[in-house]
Amino acid sequence: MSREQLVVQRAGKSYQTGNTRRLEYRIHQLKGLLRFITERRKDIADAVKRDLGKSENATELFETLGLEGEIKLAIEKLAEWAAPRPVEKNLLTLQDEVYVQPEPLGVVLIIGAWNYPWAVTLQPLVGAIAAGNAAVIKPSEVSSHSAKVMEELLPQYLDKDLYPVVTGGVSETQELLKQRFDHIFYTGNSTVGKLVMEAAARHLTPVTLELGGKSPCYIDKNCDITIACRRITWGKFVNCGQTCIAPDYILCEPSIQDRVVEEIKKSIKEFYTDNPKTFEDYGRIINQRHFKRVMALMEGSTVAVGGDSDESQCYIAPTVLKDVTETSKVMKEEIFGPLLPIITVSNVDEAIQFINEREKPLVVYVFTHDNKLIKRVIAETSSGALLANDCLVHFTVSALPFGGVGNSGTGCYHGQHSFDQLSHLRSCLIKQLKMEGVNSMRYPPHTAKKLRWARFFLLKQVNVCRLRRMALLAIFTGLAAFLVQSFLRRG
Amino acid sequence: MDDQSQVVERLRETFRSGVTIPEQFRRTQLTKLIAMLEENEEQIVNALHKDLAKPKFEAVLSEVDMVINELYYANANLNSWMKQEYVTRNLATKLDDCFVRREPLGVVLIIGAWNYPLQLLILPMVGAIAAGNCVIIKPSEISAATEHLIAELIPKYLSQDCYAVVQGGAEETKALLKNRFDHIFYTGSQAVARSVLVAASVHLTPVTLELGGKTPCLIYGGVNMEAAARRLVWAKYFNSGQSCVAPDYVLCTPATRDALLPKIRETLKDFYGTEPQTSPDLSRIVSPRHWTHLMELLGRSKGKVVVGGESNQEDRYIAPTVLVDVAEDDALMQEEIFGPILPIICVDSLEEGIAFINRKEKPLALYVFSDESSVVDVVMKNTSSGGFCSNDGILHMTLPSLPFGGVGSSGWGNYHGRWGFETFSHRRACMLRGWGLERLNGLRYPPYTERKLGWLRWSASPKSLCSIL
Repeated sequence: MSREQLVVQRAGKSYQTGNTRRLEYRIHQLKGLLRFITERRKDIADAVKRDLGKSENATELFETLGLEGEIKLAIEKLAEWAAPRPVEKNLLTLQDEVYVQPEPLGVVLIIGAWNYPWAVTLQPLVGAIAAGNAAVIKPSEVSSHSAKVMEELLPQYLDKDLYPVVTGGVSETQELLKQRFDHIFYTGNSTVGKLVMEAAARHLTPVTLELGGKSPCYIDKNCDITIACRRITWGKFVNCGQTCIAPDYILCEPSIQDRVVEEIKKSIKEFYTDNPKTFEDYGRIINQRHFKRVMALMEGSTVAVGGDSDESQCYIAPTVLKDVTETSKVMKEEIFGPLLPIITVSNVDEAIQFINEREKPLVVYVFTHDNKLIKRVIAETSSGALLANDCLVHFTVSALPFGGVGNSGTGCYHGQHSFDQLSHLRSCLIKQLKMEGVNSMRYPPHTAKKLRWARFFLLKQVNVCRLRRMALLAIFTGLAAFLVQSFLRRG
Repeated sequence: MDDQSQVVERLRETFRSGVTIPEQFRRTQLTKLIAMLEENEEQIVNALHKDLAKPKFEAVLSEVDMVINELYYANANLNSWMKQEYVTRNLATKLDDCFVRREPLGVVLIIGAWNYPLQLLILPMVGAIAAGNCVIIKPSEISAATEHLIAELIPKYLSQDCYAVVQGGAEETKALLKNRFDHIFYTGSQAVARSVLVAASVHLTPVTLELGGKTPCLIYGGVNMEAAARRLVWAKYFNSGQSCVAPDYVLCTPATRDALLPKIRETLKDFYGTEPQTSPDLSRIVSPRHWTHLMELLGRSKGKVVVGGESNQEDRYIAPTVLVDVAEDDALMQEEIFGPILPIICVDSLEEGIAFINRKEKPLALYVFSDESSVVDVVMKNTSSGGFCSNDGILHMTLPSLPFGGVGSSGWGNYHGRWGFETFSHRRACMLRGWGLERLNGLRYPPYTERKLGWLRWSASPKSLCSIL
């Protein structure tokens, strides 16, 4: 038996003990996860520094801060999320209990990514634990230092049979995917996403796929270009552009292109100094392979800002490319690096058309003061999310479902969405063996009269809430009429 | 480009034009569907009778009326379903507009099944239309009369640029699945579901799978045996057992079995008379192939037939049948029966019954008959299934407010009512930020200092104090 098979089997056996069904047990594990983040802050920061060249503060800001928030929210809300959810009844079920009961699925597989190795691997875990599942965690081998730290330290804070960490590369992942899971949560690229879905087909395993795409960013020529460019610069060059929701490329009218370039240049200097290479808060490309890939994307485009690089350090300067066209190399795939191409379009119609000719992205960005324009972009495009006048921050609102559509993914998470995504919502109808007489209209032998009654009772939707509201309205109207009358009589 | 691909392309062009998006358009289509069903009820009932010898009562209640009700429900609630949903924000985003918008996916494919050929095809279609999509429906070729009728009626009532019917068998379905859809909704078997999923993975198409399984019916503790027997018999032999949520087998103690059997016999006599084959209220097996398969299963079973067992090949008739002394490894226990054959398996305790259920795949439904609420509670908490109903069968799936779907090998996703609308929608997170307070944004820009981090930690926390502000 392979190591992966053993791990999954053990997780399954531990799940069968029923411990995770108890809310106190789940909260206990979540608290363990929280302690891990707070006690091992330094180990996590060191690992990320070695993987991505991120500073300690950047790691806290972009990895652990959000994670802590999610864990605390889950602990606070767990009882509410896990409680039975009553639903609307019909005439025949008025006496019965009718509700949806969230239940755990079983053993979940979480495949993490390397760009935010802690956030995108552990945030789904929060949902898995809260929903009462066991979870096999497979961190990305590309962010190898983080994977190693996770493997060594997480078992000291979480039940190691229920939440094992399995490290390894492609073949270990393939071996894992041969096993049977009750849900697979994958974060990564579309190509591997297809393979994960295909592998899941064997066991009919449901999947959540958090993928990527080219997130467009439209700048209206009449907006405050200085502020827009500051926010875009921040959103783009965080983590050296290696963010699934980074603005991938800019669309704007030719008349403002030069101004946009200038403002971005200014913001780059403000954030990363004249020499980003030596600045602590500017990161690196994850590895040589991706470095070469991103560098190759620059071919054929005009560099307006930056462009310099250092292969030995996997360093690429914050770079802006101008006069890019749709056939340029940089437009052929998701950049996932610090290159910001600008494509000029004559107007917003052309921008919308450009966006719609491509696969649905994870997010569409639009910068404008004109609310009507925002509404138009919302109505005429499709994407995982839409963010107007800023970048990335929708990620921090737990109540917003975070996920893609079409090529950018299926399913969503964050906050309660993580809990629901990794639960089974079981419909429950609790009846008694009384009032059997009422049932006779549905039993054979069938008569026309019985059919008439059955048609009325069995299926007619009576909106109980509306009935109640109407009854209340009638009472209040009656009361009001009475009061008005007595007032008039007194007067 | 073959015919099918042309149909998909045409619908995609229509979707791009945006015509299916406005609320009024969707409402009009749903209303036309109501007219289609109301104006052609007799034809539909006749087609269902041709396919399954479905009694008019069953055809009206479980097919026509179920869909009409769903349509009225959708029309009544469409406006609220389509509304933008505003969400709670943290302090850092308090001044922004944060909402979730339900948006159509595009062109969706719905593959129906033969046991409820109208309901299982058109009911999901209601959700798909309500959500603003263009829809291709593929009725089952096994229930051929209903298939042809649907193919004839749909283009008469609904816009042919937005909604299309594709007919054919396994080969045509395989070819159809090569096209790219924005969602695939499949009702049927696990085997075919696997190939649907593989086809879907090529385009990263999300799917809903409504499958089946062996729905257990546990009868334990103090039980009003007469009422239990009547409800059990009704749920089992409705549509001659060809329902994905029919009770597949019974689990009970020997004493319960002995009390249950006479009541079952009594009920069967009340419902179908002494010669069930002559009763107009009992449907038939859908095809000679399915009939042969069921008879073969019955033949291989080592259980003892105590009720029924009669059959007639020409009529595709199998009498309502009950077997006892059925073991866990019996032929009848290896697959979903999907016929009017009810094995009763004895267990000595509730724990044994629950363990038996948990040794099998998660079923689409699970039934418990007991007057003791503690029994119902224990079974529910220690098992998993798509849906759960105590002291009755099938009824939980007639309420549009309850999600109808499976878990594990009984399926993935759900529908009915608002759940169908959500299944065929994309929930798009929207956040509209203001232009002011750029200074506050300065907290998040590099250089990342301890002081800035401290402020951000405070503003992003979900503390209730912040919610007051």
